[in-house]
Amino acid sequence: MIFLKLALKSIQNRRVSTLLTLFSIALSVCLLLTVEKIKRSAEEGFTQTISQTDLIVGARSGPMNLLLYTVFNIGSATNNISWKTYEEIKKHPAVEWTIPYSLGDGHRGYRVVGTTQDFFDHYHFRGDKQPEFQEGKGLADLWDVVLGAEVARVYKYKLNDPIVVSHGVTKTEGILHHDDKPFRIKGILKPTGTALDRAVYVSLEGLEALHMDWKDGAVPTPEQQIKPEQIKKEDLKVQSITAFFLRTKSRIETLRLQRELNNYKEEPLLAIIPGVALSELWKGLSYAEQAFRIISWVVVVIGLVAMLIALLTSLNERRREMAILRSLGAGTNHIVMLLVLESTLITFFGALAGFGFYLSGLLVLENWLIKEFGIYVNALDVRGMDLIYIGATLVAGVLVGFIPALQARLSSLKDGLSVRV
Amino acid sequence: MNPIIDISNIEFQYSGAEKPTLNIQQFQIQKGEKIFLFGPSGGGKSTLLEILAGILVPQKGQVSILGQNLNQLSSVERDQFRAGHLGYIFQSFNLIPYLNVRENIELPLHLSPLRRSRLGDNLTQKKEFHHIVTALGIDHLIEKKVTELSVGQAQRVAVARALYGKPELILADEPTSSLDHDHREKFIHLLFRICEESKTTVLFVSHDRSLEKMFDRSVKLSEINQVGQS
Ligand SMILES: Nc1ncnc2c1ncn2[C@@H]1O[C@H](COP(=O)(O)OP(=O)(O)OP(=O)(O)O)[C@@H](O)[C@H]1O
Ligand SMILES: [Mg+2]
Repeated sequence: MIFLKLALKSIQNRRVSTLLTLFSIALSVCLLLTVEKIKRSAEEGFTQTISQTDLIVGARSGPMNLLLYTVFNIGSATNNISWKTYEEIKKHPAVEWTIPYSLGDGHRGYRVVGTTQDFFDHYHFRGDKQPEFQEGKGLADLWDVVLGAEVARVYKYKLNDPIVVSHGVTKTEGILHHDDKPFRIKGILKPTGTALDRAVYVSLEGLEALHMDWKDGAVPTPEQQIKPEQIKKEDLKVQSITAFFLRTKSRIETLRLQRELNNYKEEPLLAIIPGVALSELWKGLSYAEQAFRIISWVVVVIGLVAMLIALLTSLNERRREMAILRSLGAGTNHIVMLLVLESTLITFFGALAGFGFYLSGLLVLENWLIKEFGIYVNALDVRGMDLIYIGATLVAGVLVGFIPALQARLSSLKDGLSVRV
Repeated sequence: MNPIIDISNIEFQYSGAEKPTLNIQQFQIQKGEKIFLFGPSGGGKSTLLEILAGILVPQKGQVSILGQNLNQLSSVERDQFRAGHLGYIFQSFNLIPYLNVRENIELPLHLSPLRRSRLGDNLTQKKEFHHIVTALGIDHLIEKKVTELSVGQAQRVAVARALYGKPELILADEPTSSLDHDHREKFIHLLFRICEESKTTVLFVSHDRSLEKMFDRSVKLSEINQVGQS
């Protein structure tokens, strides 16, 4: 294919201008893909914060409220569920597993969550991922604490450091420190890019123990204080939990069980399907994503306009070349083809380089992004959408190429073989 | 014998021009002839060559090349016809700047299957290539960039390209006017030597009447062109 060869040699010959336009297209494609990836990662980090859980059950309140305080540890429950109810539902024949979840106090701005080993056994996010330990292990003893990755990173906690749990959630609220009840860090979770990174996990009993000597929400006087070594796990009886996660034995039972729980006789309960609720919530939050996408398309357009300008400005000095090609038997359609091929090649290599920048950039930054920002990106996870975007850029490049090509055809028809400058 | 070029009753006028540039009743060139065409600047010599090359189409009359009436061809067919049967040489800047000497010379073979098939297989192509570049004395230049050639060398590369693939007709539009006097005659000698081997017809346009004597026949454009002969 001689015109492909001519196009290649021709753009190589105009090296500086070609490289500049190629680079600008590469950067815009890279930006487009990166924005798309971050958007997708954010969405996945959000909607995939919890998976494999079929129902979240809490005391009756708004579904968004229940979702926020369980999945994101935001806000708080107005009511608890009694331990008795929890035990009963757990025994329901349709239930495969449950994870009790109690929201408690805060630790330096992070939420303290009371749960059981079930959490580490059954909690899933992003499909089949489970919380894993970066260091240490799960909750064995009453005073054991497991930290989310961000908590450990921000306060530079190490295994076996003592840790003090304060009353209330925010840093300023935490004036009442439970500094009489020393917890020890027994495990640190790996970063997940979800709300898991921003919580402190203790056992249900541990959470209970904090308030054992409290009467009616008042701080115990020194005489009333119970020494930590006097408290034993066996003595503690968990009265209630905030909510729990539930997995049914088969998905078809989910809806039926949800209805059943929502009409639970003993206690007013609310059961929600997290996937559905999360997607709804994300839709409400994601209008900014549309703006980002528009901006990156504008950048692609700018890249293509740069190419258009470069090709158009080169046309005048190439009129002689077109006349030579015509004299050798090339038709005006060949001239069009040559120029369209040139822009296609530039866009193709630009998009390819952009894709390369994007992939290598992500591969390099992958770990840093999850560590510093909790954004979980999988560089090698190339989706159909990425290819559609690259394809769309290519098509746009080809179409843009027709502008200088048709211009060249016009001037070639006018010039014939004698170029009068 | 059939003429290789046969023009009858053509009239050509550029669009937007006030009067026709060319009006030729009868003009013929026989196969193998080497014709010198001269006339004042602006007389329409280049226009005539572009009509013969099938780039411009006269509003009236018939143009036949090798017995093929160009009027009957579509523009795409005229392009193919030109690629296969005609070699064109300009006054200067004949070469594609981003191709080297070899690639420039080989270009017509890529654009015309006819030229390719005339030379047969790869080996004969190579032989012919070698033959032409040695005859023109540019065999040491073939891998050079065309931007590194002297004007005379570039014109010889243009001749090699026009002739490679044995087209029947060479149209040369003042190919020597950028050369100095000594080189002009040498250039024409070289051109003729190769053309005679394959009985190629040459229509050569020039101002320089001193070259006239080297040709079989010389034609003054104003003698065949009715325009301007009031
Ligand atoms: N594209 C064009 N549009 C309009 N008029 C043109 C065009 N090209 C040439 N002409 C006119 O046609 C006439 C013939 O031009 P042409 O180039 O054929 O002359 P020429 O004999 O080759 O001259 P020279 O010896 O200077 O090359 C001139 O008057 C020129 O101005
Ligand atoms: Mg001229």
